This record gives sequence, structure tokens and C-alpha cells, in this order.
Amino acid sequence: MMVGGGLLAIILLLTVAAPWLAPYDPREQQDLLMRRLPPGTVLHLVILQGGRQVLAERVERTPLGLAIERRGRWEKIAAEQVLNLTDEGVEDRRYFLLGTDGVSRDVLSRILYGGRISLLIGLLSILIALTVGVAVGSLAATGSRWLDYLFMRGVDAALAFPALFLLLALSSVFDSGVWLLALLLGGTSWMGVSRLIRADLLGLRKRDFVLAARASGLGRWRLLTRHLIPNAWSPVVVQATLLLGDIVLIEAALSFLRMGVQPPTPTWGNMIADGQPDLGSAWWISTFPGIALAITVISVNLLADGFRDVLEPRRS
Amino acid sequence: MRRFQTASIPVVLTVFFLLAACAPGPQGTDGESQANDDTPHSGGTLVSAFAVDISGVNELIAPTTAVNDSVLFRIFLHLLEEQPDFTEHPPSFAPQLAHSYEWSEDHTVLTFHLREDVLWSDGAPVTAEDVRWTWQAQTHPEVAWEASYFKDNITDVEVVNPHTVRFHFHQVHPAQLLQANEGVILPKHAWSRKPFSEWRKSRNWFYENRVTNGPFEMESWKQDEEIVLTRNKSYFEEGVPYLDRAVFRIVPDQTSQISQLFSGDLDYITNVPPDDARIIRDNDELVLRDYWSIGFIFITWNNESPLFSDARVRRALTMAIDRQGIVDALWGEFARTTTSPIVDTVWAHNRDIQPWPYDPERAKHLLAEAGWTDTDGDGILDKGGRPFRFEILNHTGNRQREDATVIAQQQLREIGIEARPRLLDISAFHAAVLHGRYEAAVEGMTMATDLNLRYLFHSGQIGVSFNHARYRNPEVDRLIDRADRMKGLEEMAPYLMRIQEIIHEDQPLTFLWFSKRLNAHNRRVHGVQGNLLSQWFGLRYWWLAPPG
Amino acid sequence: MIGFVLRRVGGSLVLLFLVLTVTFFVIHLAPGDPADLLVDPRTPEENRDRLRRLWGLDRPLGEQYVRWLSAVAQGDWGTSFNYQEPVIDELAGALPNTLVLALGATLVAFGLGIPLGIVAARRHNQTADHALRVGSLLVYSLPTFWLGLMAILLFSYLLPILPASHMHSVGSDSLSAGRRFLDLLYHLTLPALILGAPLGASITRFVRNSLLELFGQDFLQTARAKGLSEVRVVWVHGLRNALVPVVQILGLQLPALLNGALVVEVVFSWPGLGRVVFNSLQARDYPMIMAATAFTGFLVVAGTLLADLVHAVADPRVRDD
Repeated sequence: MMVGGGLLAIILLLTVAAPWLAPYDPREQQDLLMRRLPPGTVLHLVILQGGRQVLAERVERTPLGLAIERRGRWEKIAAEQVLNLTDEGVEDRRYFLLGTDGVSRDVLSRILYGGRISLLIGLLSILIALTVGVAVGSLAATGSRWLDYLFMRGVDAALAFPALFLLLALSSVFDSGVWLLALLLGGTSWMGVSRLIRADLLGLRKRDFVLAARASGLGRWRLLTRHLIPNAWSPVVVQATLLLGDIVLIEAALSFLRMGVQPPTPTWGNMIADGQPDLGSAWWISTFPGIALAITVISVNLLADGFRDVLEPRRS
Repeated sequence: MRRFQTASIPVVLTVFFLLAACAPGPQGTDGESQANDDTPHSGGTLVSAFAVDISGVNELIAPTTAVNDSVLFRIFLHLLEEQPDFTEHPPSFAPQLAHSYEWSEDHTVLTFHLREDVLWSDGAPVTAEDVRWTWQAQTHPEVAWEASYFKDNITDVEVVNPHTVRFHFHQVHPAQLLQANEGVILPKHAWSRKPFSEWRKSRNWFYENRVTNGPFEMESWKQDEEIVLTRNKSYFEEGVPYLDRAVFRIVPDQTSQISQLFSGDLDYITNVPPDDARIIRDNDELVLRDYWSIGFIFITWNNESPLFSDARVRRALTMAIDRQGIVDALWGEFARTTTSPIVDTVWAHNRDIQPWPYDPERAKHLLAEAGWTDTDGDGILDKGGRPFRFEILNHTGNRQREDATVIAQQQLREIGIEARPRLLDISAFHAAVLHGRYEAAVEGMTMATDLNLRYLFHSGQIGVSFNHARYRNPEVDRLIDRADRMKGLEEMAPYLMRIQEIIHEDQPLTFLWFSKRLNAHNRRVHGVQGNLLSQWFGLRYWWLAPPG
Repeated sequence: MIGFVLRRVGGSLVLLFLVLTVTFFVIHLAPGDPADLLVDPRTPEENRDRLRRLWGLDRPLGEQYVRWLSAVAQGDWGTSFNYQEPVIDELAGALPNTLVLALGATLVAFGLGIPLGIVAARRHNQTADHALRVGSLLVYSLPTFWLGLMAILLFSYLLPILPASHMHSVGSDSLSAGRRFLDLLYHLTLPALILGAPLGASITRFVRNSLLELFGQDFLQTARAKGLSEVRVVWVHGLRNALVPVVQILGLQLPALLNGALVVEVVFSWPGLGRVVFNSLQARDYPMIMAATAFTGFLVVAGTLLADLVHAVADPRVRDD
């Protein structure tokens, strides 16, 4: 199922390219009268003296300037005030493909930028989880029995923590920036990786080529890096990919509970939370970020499936 | 401040009944014309909603919330009932448990005369012993009542006879009556069985052993579900309450409350968001009511920070934020800007103060005067190498404030100031602002009817109560200290006016708005008096038109 | 074997102790404390300090820890700052609600997962199989809280057929027992579905894969060739073998279920343990947080222990651990 890989790549590309792709600044409140507008809204953009901008549903050219309609009320603007006046009115438009949110920000732009943050945190967390997990697992597998016992009990201890509770508690202690969240999330997710690595390495330890390498006096470090890990990495890849999906979901949940990334920085989780009070009337504010989240995680899981099919063909 | 003479009881009672008969009528108008009956009809059940549950039956240990007061003030009595007639003069007090009171010559002794016909729900009479014992509970260190500071000025509560109780004060203060009256009267005979040291572990015990004396009794409280009050049949006021029962359902979600109002499952809801006002108005079966709240929202600048220590800078910040624009965008007709913590619907508001205009250009000039210019061309003002950049805090749970912060942030950006909003939960937020560990914050406050500006502006309150701005002005301190020696709220007026002037010049805070509260009910409900003291004020006078 | 069990149990207790200690220090480090939640801004600091003294929060952290530990050793988990009732009582009140939710979710998960897994195995590589594979992947990948919100949007706002929150309708006390139960089911439907769906999706995939592994691709034909009826094949041989690891899954998924329950409870205002924890975290209700953490930690540790024991019973090699 490399469809997943493809999808993920597209998503990554989209979010990385957010600064170029996003139609508008995700933090810009376009026009405070134009809050909670439905998807597909197109408005006229009137640029005024002094750099202010105003959006309107309808614009008509009058002899003295413009008459604009905003939320059911008509206003008049003198011609000198308008910088982008044309003979017909104004030509500039703003397109809100996915609507505007509670403070008149473009939902589409926020989704693109939000994706960057969410994926950045996810990837950083995976990096941390992999590093710590591989390190602990390998050391446990290749060290003395005592060390192994110690490490694995440590892993069990880490696993026993009710992760969400701990994350909730920790994120209320510290100021939740991207790095801190990545650290927290990575720090609570490495255990599965280490167990996997350890199990694999233990299995490999008995194999011929390893015994041969040891007999030839190879040091532990080189044994690890040259022989063991390269053979053990395939299940780890699958695991890490699945982990990415989990972490993105957990970050979203944390941000949803308002204990993760703080507004106004958009992340899919806190956008869903922002839209919750308006669920009945402005459903798009919560729905679209959720769809973006869903597609991302699905593609990650598809990718993991794909890896599994390729790397571990014995499990059909 | 009125003085009730200790005239003979019948006269007083007559006066009282006259007052009761002319109970304050419904405020806010919106199609109140009832075609048929205007005489109250006895009977029926009123169903309304709370967004959160009450936290207990014992006022002294339950964390204070507006929801708690809404229920507790219906089932317990105060000595006097504060009236919401706040606009033209200091609030007046109607008799409740006490039918009259008088001051001593030097104004340090206040004597209340209690009604003799008030009973607790278990039949025992309400006496002066209850009043004294309540004061002991209120001030007991192990009960640790949040609002015990109200009683700091009271040295003793003396039982003169079973129906006369005397409060002794340490010194004269404008709010003495409020100090004595704060807190409902609790049942000594029933609740003194529980030692004070165990009060804070026994929330359920107080509920199970509840003994009340108000117009309503609490029939049941199912946590997170509903609270049911029923009429107190031995209530001393004739004929009231009209309602048989008042049910309060816990409905956390605003949208659900509104849809239940429409479907008829709820008769009365409160805190209606302004966005929903129109659909309620358009519905013929429903009535929308509004009144001006005296709570206000503002930005606190940490005056001790080098960014905000100069009054010119603070004035500039105020002028750079389009407060009226924010109100228009977020509230429409349902809020107004304010120039002072005493908002313009209150008698002591200084009407001569003109609001600072929204004038970004002037703001920039002031900032430049104070040394803030953009020397390195990065679009942000700076001074001595330090950019004008700061974090502005908000606590979770209030949409309008969050929205306003984001709007203000944009406006400040336009003049070269970078404000970064940050959300904290309430506990962390409070810790930060109290101890000055912040730069700017958006807060809300309700000025109490005692109009004590001390909490907000006196330098002695820094790190103690609400002077989060850490504002120090010896002149203001002096004025506040002098005001506190007045004998009544009216006499405080000249000081309040002057303080408001100075605050307006100094702008330790930037005031944003104060808003209307919206309530809604269906047409069957009459006599609704929800106001800034309570959204269920005078519930005993509300009545339901019979169906059909 | 006994030695193994004892070692694991002993290890688990040490674990629990570690969890509690770390949690204790972490939550006390969070800025703000319960006395700060007395939101009346005019309350002078001394009133708050008074409460702090009453609650023992003015002592050095180490001393607070020791006091708490010794109280717990005697069975006293303290009084909730927020609810002013013994912590145990509050938790005991909330726990059954979470169990009901978890039970409902598990029933949904098994009730949907097993049959669907069987169907997918039977129609291996046909449309149904593919559809189920994609479907379960979908469900597994969706964020629980968003799913909950969408479900509320769909079934409570657009088509108002299910309640959006809470466990009982108001006034349900006056209903007969039978109708109360129905009312409970009515409220349980959405939350249990949302919580159980991801687990159900895992089970579907697992059952499918297990069955295929056990019997090969044409397992029905194999069975018929052996002369066994389909029912016997599937139920007696297939599931019995597949269920042992499923118990393991359950044990290991317990933490995820608890996490999910927290989120579902918050979204649906379900009065369970998760919601209590969440509110307690915000209110800095330390005794409550500690007790809730102890309990969930215990559940997680017990779950892992159970999973390991089952594994050890099945696979003796593990016992040399």
C-alpha cells in the first residue's frame, strides 16, 4: 500500500510549502465583520488609505466612490479613500475555500500551517523516540543480563505511566513550545521501539554470522552498528511509522484539551477545539482540520502497512 | 444611606408589605404585553439551566461561584436584601430577616431587629443566636471562608435578646452595612453539631442535613444533573413564592440550552450569547431580556515592567487599540466601552471623563516621546536595544476575551508593537498575575457594590489582592485611605470621582468593555427580574401563566 | 513459575511506586495551586494562604510527599480540595461510570470486531475484505475527539436522535428500572461507539490475520476437506487460538483505552474517572490527581502484568526473563 506513502508525501509537501501555497496569512484577521463565513465564500476586497482593508459581499460604483454591503448593511466610501478603485468598483477578491473562523481567519491557510506544526512535532518526536528507543534496546540486548533486566524494568516503568495524564500534567508545568512537546511526546513513546529492538537483537544474537563476528573479536559497538542494527531495523521502521500516526493524534488531543500548542499558533487539534462552541452553526471550523488530521494519519498507517508488507512478507 | 426608625412593628410591617407589593418590576422590555392576566398566579414548575453544577449547600466552604449564589440565596436569608437600584444612588436595602436597623451615634455599632415569625425548615425559630454563630463560622480559621475579609472590621456580634443582634465595628467605613450583611444566616442548632475543623471535609453532610429558612427549600440535588427547589410553605411573606417548584438543570452546552428553550424543555436560560439574540427575538413564544452587567474587561499592564512603567506608553497603548471597534465586532449593541472600573450605569461613574480616542498616529508620537522608535527598521519599535515585544496572557474559557486579544494584537502590530498571546489555565494564570510574573494580561472583574477601588489601585494591595498592575501612586493611595473613613457610600463620591480622573490619566489598565447580560424565557413566565445582583433575583415573585 | 510471578508482581509494585512519586512531584511543580482558583479577585492573599495552611501546602515539598505517602499507607487518600469530600468517595462514584463506558466500548469492539474479522477472512482478497481493511484502517486513524464531535454534530444536532452529553436524562430517577436502563443505553450509544471503534478496528484486523495465518488462504476448504463443519473450524479452532492473543491485546491496549476514555468523557461530559482527572488537573486538586493516577497506574500495571502472565503461560521461554 504505497498509496499511503504517496499520500503522506503529498501532505508533507503541501504543509512544507504552506508559506507559498496558503492563500493568506494564517494569523490575519481579514475583517472582523466576516467571521464564521461558510466554505466557498467569495468577497470583494476594498483597500483603504492607511493600509486598512475591508471585505464586502457586494460592491457598487457610485459617482462619489463606492457603496458596499457588509452583513446586510450598506456603507458609502468616498473615492479618495479607496486605493484599488476601478471603473466597475473593485476587482480584487478574497476566496475562502474552507470558510473563515471565529476571528475571520482563513481556515484553509490555517490548516496548511497547522499541518506544518503538527507534522514537525510528530517527526521530531519520532526522532527522539527512535534515538532513545534504539539506544536503550540495543544496550539492553547486548549488555550483561543485569543491565538488560534494569533497562527492561525501566521500560516497563515508563510504559506504566498513564501517558496522557502525565502529558497533561507536564504541559501545565512547562510552557508548551514545539520543542518541549516533541520532547514530551518522544519521551513517552520510545518504549515500544526499545522492546522491539531488544527482542530482535536477542533473536539475532544466536545467529551464525553474529557468533562468527564475535569470535573474530569484534567489539560490542561495531557489532552493534555493523551487524546487528542493519538487520534489525525493518520492524523498527514499521513501528516508527505507526508511532508517527499515534503521536500526531496525541498532539492533536493535547492541543484540543488546550494543553498542547497554544493559540494563535494553529495546529489541527486546537483548531478543532476553537470550533467546538460553534459546532451547530459554523461546523466547518472543527470539521476540516479533523479531516486533514484523519487523512494524514490514514496515510501514515497505510504507509506502515506498506512497509510491513514489503519488509515482513511472512505476515500476510 | 437611609435610616429605618425603630417605629412600632405594625407600622414597619405595613411599610414592608407596601415595599413588597411594589417589588421592582421586570427590567428590559421586549414584548411584555400580556393580553389577559397581570395578577400573579400561584402554582407551576419553572425549569431553568446552569452551565455548571453548584458546589455545595454551605456557602462558607463551597468555592464561590455565581451559580452557587443563585441557588443559595433562594433557600437562605440575609439580614437585609440588597436591591439592584444602583444607577442613581448607592443601593438600598430591603428588610429580609431583619425588619429594621439603627446606628449608634458614633456609627460603630449597628443593631438589627429580627422578625419574630421566621422559622427554619425543621420548625426551629430563627434567632439572634443564629446570626452570632454564623459570624463565628464565617471568621473561623478552619472554616477558612474565602470572603472572610468582609468581616475584618467587625469586632463582635452580640446577642441582645432572641430577636435583637448588635454588630460592633472596629472603625467607621463606607461599607459597614455591606460588611455586616455579607453572607447568609446559617442554622446554629443544626450545623453546630459538626465541629468547624471538619467543615471542609463534609460537603455532603451539609446537604444531607440541610436546614434552610428562605422562600424556597432544596428538595434534592443530583450532582451534575439537577437541583430542585420547592416552595417553603412557612415562609413569612404572604402568598409568595408563587411557584410550586423551581428546577435547575445542568446543561453545560450553550447550544443545548438554547435548543431546549425553543423546544420548551427549559423555561428560562441565562448568559445568552449575543449572536443568538436575533433568533430569540424573532420567536413569538420567547422573550429576550437584557441588562447591563457591571463587570468589565480590561488589559492589565505590568507597571513595573520597563515596557509599561511610563504612563505615556500606557496611554499610547490605549489609543492604539480600537476599543469601540472591538466592541462593534464582538458584541454589536450588547456592550459598551468604559473609561473606568465604575461603569457608566453606576451612580458613581465620573461622567466628565472623555475616553481616549482611537488614534494610532498620536499613539506613535507618544511612544516616540517616551523613547520608542524603530531604529533598526524591522517594523518593531525599540528603545535602548530592546524591542517592544511582550506576552499577553489570557485564561482559558472565555471566547470574547481571546478574540479581543487577537484583535488588539493586530492593532498593536500596526504601530510596531508585537504582542504574543498566551493561554493559561485559571490556576496558572492567577499565580502569574498575582505575583507580577507576567507582562500584560487580559482580565475581567466585577466591581462590587461597595465600589472599593482599594483592591484595584492601592499600592498596599500589590501581591495581596487585585492590584495586578502593580500600580503605585501615593496620591491615589491617600485618596483611597481617606475615602475608607467615610460613613457611607455617598460620602465617598468626591474621592471616587477624583480617583477615576487620575486613573484615566495614568492608564495603569486599558479598559475594554462592559457588556449586557442576556436572558431569555418563554411567554408563560412573568415577573422575571434577573439583574446584575442575580439572574434569579426575586424568584419568589416570579409566576407562570396557567397553560392555555 | 511461582518465582516468575512473584518477581513480576514485585516489580510491578515498585513500578507503581515510581509512577506515583514522579507524578507527585510533577503536579506540585505546576504553577498555581488550588488556592489560586478562588476566583474572586478581591480575596486577599492571606485568605488564600490560610487555605494553603489548612491543606498543608505551605510545607516543603519533600515533607508534603512523606506525609502523603504515610497517609496513603494507612489507607487515607485525603480530601478533595475541589469537592470537599474524601477522594475515595469521589473516585468510587466516578469509577463505575467509566467502567460502564469501557464495558460498552469493549462490547462494541468485540461485537463488531470479531464478526467483521471473520467475514474479512472468509472473503479473503475479495471486495468485502478490502473494504473492511480500508474501513478499519480509517477508523483506527481518526482522532477520537474529532470523531466524537462529528458524531454529536450528526446525531444530536442535524438528526436529533441521540443525546449529546451526560449519562442520564434529567428526571430519570423517577423512571422504572427497566426504562432507566434503556435511558442509560440511549446515552451510552455514542460514547461507547466512539471509544470502542478504534479497538474494534484493531480486533477486526487481528482476527482476520490470525484466522488466515492459522488456516492458510483457503482455510474453509481445508476445513471441509478435513470433514469439519464451518462452525467448528471457525469457532472452536480458530477463535480459541486467536483469542489468547486478543486478551493480550486488551491488556496492552488498556492504557490506550483509558486515554481514549478521558477524551471521550470530556467531549461527552460523561461523569467518569477521566473527566474527574481532567477537571482535577485544571483545579490543581492534588489529592484527587494522585489517587486517580494511582488507580489508573494500577490498572495499566495490572493490564501489562496480565498480558505478560498470559504470554508466559503460553510461551515458557519468556519466563527466564
